[in-house]
Amino acid sequence: MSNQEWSVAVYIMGFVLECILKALTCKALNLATYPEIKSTKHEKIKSYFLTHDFDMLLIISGTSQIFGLSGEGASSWSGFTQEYTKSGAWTNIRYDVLSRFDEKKAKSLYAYLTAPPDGIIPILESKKLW
Amino acid sequence: MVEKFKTILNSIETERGNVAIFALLRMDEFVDKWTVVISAPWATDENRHEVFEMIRKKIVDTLTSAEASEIARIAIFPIDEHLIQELLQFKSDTVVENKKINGNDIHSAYIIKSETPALV
Repeated sequence: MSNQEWSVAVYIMGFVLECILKALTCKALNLATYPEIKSTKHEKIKSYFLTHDFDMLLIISGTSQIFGLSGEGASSWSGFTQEYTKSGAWTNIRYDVLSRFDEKKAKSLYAYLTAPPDGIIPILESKKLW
Repeated sequence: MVEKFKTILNSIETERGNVAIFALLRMDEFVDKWTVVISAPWATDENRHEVFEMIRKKIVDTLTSAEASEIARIAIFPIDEHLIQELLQFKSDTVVENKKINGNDIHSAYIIKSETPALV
């Protein structure tokens, strides 16, 4: 953000949310480490854990109630994830990352993710989940 | 649930004015969650929070709690957003199954209203 690399910042923010949800999953399920391909032989388990899908990760992290439509984080969750899910897997944005996001959009997404009191991270912090 | 969303759309348009796109999209087959997509001339970045809360309240008041739990997000896009332009290619009351829209494999979609801005 400080280098005004707006599209790169947006791409990194996607990873931030993915890492948060995977860390929350470990905490919710009392896992020492996140399941890896080598240690996960069951195909159905792979589809749940080995994913970039925010909606899937929301379920296994145990935070659906917070960011669901009736939850206090619904607005921030919707505002943030709508930009990442509109073109399929959010990681696809790396293919057009150089031109798609401007300063206004990057700062808006940053606010949905970090701005207190209703940003995604502040809500998780307030609930001692993060 | 689609009929309930038609009621919600009517309520939104009565209160705020015409909507260009109102659709339900299910992005993948693994998670049974829907994205409510709306685009309207009166829904802007500046009033996004107020518009979101208005739509959220109508959805929560209309759907059962089980139905509401199937909604992953309310996505409010400007009319010039590429996804909206692609959805405007469909007519109102169109059901889409397993089709690529905006580079995204849409598992299911209900285009409840699609009306180009010039006609709005």
